[in-house]
Amino acid sequence: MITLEVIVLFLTYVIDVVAISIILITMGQLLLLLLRRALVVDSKKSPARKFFFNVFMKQVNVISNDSTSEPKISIIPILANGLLFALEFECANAILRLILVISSIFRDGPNLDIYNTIIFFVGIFAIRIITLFTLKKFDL
Amino acid sequence: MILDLNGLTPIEAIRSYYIDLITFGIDILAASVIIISVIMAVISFLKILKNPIKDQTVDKESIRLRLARGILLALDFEIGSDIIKMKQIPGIKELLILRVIVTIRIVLSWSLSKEIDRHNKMT
Repeated sequence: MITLEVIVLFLTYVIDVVAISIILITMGQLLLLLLRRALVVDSKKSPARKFFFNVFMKQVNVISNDSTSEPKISIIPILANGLLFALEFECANAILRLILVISSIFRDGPNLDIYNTIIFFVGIFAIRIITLFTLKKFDL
Repeated sequence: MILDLNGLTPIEAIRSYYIDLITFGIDILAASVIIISVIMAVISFLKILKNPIKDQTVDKESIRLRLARGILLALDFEIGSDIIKMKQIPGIKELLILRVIVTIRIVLSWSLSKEIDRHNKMT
């Protein structure tokens, strides 16, 4: 039977998948960027490799089509930004789960699930604050 | 939702019924706000994926803050709902759990609003 709880639970799983996808996309973009940098250094020995790799990178939108020089992009802010973006989704997820858990307190009383959800919520919240603090502290 | 009269006087039962109804409505509203914000954030994220990485970082930040505003609104609804729910808490343990959750929510909403303010001052 499809109830409201089942729909919300399904949505929390979807949000989880979205958050994981965002982290994977960020990691993929970073890997491409690092690969490009490595090849730019390597291309001093072989210019043909640089040409083919630049064509490939423009296709995957790692650099803009009009740029010919190495873009000066720092890696840590990109990674932290992706992580924070994914954490925001997880925060939304945790709030949705808390809504479900609180309504279950009134039905079944306190159970293990509520403690797990609170720990999950506090954990995500702590990581979020630590990441933001680190970004601000080191001016990244 | 069923009007349960077991062990309650009619007035208490009616009050309990209406509190359940109101908090249920607020919960639905909060969940809808979160879901709509998430859907909008996902659509915006998919749109910016074709931009270069450097532009994406800036765009991602603004999408994140828009999502944070949605979460903040939902949290405000939820805090209100939790305060109403405290009216019909069955025991001290449940009350403590609810208080912990409300405290966490208040701290999160304070942190989110600080972050949004800081971002608004920067831009």
